[in-house]
Amino acid sequence: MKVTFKSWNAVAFWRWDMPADDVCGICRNPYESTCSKCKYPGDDCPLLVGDCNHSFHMHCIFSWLRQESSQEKCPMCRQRMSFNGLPRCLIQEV
Amino acid sequence: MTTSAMDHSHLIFSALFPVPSLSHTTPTPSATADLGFAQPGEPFEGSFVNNPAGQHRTARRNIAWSTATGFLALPKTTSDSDGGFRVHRPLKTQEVEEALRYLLVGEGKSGDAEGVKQEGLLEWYRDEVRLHFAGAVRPVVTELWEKPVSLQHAWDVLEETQRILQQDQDQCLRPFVEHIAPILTQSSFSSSMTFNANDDSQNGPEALYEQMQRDIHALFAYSIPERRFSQTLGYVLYDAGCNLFRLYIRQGKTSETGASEDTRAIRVRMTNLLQNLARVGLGGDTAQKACAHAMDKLMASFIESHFLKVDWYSKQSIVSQLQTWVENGFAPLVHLAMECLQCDLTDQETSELQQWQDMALGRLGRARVDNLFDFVINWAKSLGGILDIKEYLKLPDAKQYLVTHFSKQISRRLLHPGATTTYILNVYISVIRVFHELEPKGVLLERVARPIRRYLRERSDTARIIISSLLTDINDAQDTKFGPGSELSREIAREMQKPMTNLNQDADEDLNWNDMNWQPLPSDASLDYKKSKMDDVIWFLLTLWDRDDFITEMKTIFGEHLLKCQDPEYEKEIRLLELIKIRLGDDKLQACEVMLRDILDSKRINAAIRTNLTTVPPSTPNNPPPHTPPNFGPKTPQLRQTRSSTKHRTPAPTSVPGAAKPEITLSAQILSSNFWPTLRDDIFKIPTPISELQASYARQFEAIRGMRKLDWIPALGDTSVVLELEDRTVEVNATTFQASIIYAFQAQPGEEWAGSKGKGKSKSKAQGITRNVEQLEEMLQMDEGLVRQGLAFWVGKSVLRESHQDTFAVIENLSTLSSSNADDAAAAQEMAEAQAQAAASTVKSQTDLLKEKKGLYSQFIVGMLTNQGNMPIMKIGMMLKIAVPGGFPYGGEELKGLLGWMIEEGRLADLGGGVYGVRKA
Repeated sequence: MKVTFKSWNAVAFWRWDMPADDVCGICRNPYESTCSKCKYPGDDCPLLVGDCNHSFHMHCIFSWLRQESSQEKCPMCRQRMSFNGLPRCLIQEV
Repeated sequence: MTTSAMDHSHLIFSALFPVPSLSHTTPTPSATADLGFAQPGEPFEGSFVNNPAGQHRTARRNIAWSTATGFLALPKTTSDSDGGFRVHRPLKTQEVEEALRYLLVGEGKSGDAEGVKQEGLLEWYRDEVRLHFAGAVRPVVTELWEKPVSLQHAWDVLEETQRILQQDQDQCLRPFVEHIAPILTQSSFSSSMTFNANDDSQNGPEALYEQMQRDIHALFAYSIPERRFSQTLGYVLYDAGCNLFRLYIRQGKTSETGASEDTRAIRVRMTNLLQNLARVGLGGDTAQKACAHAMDKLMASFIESHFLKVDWYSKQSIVSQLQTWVENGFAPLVHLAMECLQCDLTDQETSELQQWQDMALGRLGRARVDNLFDFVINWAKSLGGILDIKEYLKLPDAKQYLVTHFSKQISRRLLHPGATTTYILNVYISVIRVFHELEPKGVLLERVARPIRRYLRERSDTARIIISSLLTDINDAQDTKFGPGSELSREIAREMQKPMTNLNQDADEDLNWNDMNWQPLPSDASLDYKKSKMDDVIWFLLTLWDRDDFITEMKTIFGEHLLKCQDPEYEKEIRLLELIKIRLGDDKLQACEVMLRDILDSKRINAAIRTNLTTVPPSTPNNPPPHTPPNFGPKTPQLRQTRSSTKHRTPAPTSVPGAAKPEITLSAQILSSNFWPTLRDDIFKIPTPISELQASYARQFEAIRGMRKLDWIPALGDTSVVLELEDRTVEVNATTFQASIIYAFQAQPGEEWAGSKGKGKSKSKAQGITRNVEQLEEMLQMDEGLVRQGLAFWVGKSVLRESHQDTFAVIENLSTLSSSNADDAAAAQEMAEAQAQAAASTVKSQTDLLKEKKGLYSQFIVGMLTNQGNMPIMKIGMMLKIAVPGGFPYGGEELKGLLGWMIEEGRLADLGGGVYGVRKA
């Protein structure tokens, strides 16, 4: 007997390339879920990894950084928040 | 004996109250002349001495009395009256004439001249009539009426009775009219000339005649058992009515003869009978009542008759026919009967017809309402019946009647455990449609549907059926899908076909001041009545539950459906989601939207990756081998050739992928894990070529979507497999685990080698490759249960057979298969199909989840019972719901099962009465 597959429909979950089972430090939702404002996960609600290696939903960390009391620091480690290659002015725009 | 007792009591009675009939004299001349006697309390000699003229008068009166009474006497026994009551009355001589005159208007008129009340001739005659009746007529009549009258003879008995009585009446009244009345008339004429006209008007001959007639009628009436008479008369009238209107309700011969009878003849016969009955005094209240009963019954019969059957063909209301009948058939008949019975009709005329109309309509309506459930089931064909009920609803009280009775029918015939949820849903939809026709405002529907809705809410599979039916395409679904035992409702699927309407349902209508078409709520609306577009069946179904419950259920079913769905456009799913978003608000439906988007996105990614794989060949580790046929020209036969050739050339299938890979189209559905319901997550090894393909697919995906990775779920998905066996090629659509199992039956490197070289080709081929369950578990790292399910599937397809216990072999050649094996295959196929159904559900069922979380729950229960002592099962369930993270979504039955399992484990003890406690060591 010889078995040949003509087609194979597989199913997979996608996940961010992050340590598993972690949640966004701000909204406490899993990374694969959305921030509290978004509807669709994934590209519509991406993650942002700070230079301090803490990661958040982009919308979450932006709205945090826009607050004055944040002093542009990471809410987890209180280091100055900066993102690789992402100009600060963009944050202001968003 | 009774008669003697009667006589006795009569004697006693008459001793106190003198009754004329007892002192009645026989009109024979032999009777000695009564010379008078002193009345008690009267001076003995006084009257005699003071009244010599009176003495003479008494004697004379006695002579006249004898003459007159002898002349007027009537026969006293039935034998006398033989031959039709013809009595040979002696000739009226001068003597008689004078005697009559003397006794009636002359001095002998009454014997009270001396203060003695003597019997007058008229009174005597009255008694005579009475005695005559008792002796000569009553026995005949009694004989007729002694026994209950059979229906066949009803007409005859009545007519005979009437004839006898009529004769008797004539016989009794004739002497009066012929002999007594003229004398009285003469006298009253002369006396009225002189004086006292007023007095005479009361005692004049006409009045006397009437009184006489009344007496006779009273006699007649009392001689006939009233009840029996009225029943018989009622029947006769009813019978006449039935014949007149050609209602053939009675059984037996009579109906046929009745049918052939001319209606005109019947009408005449009935009219005559009634008129004659009225003439002998039987037309009074009793007859009227009987008539009323008969007409009542007639109306009922007419309504039940074939004239008023539900119009199943042209689907029209038959109320107008009924009204015509009442107006032109029924009412005239009643009037005729009443007229014949000489009833007073003047005061009823005007309003009566309307009353009859209403009465008839009410009966028709009630009769229809009693069958309403059947109309609902046969809706659309039963429109005629429904329209009848619609007319009926205009009557007062009709709505109440309809609601109570229909609710009863529903609870008896629909809301019981024997009815499937699909059936109930279908009936509910019919109910909605029927009541939309009945009453567009929906107040009735709301009342009637409440129990159905409550019941549907209690059924656990309702939501599933509704949603999966909504997602079914009615056009391409086979008929078997909607079979009686099916879980899909054709009605719901059909509703989904209809274009969407009334999208602005949620707008608050009460605050819309510009709505010029605003109307107040119906006056009989209940408090929670909500205006709805009545024909929107889906709206009714979607509002069955609280929003959240529904959405939870919806998520599960929607997810499962999306994974299975073959429709490349997902039109239906998109539409359903939009529909539900409109109905339930879109804030809670995020998960569904994400799921839908995942699926749509996956399609795009698949397309992108596929083009990448073909246009950028270096991405795959092995280039397509040179002998792969070009993409032009007829494909399939060449492909087969290629494959079979590879088989011969290459010993192990694991090395084949290089050649075979481009032929496999791998497509993937990439899901966002947090938004899908809990899916099956059995883990096993999928065939190597596929896992290699998946790996390359994942690389492509990571290239397209940065920072993301894929976690494959081997248990989900499906595949189309081609099996090339020695004598045949089988193409099967299978799930991934089934495909993996059959793939494992391919010869491993070494085995194949041994088979073809060592033992001899023919034997090994005929035997096929065998594997046992344990081997497979190890090879695939798959659960035993899943392995067995997959094996059963392939046995059912006649690809494998169970050669020994737990050992399966490939059937390379069907001809080697014995008939018993074929039977086995058939049996296995059935089993496999059943199992496949269960296994096919991609989403974990609640029961699976319960099994999974058993440990968690049991630990919690033990802890709780240890800390807080013994608890009844209700409380345990409640505490679980409150305290367990994630809730406890199960009911009492499941909890009971769980507790039972824990008792078996020896951790709990059932303390009786539903109370459980920790077992103490």
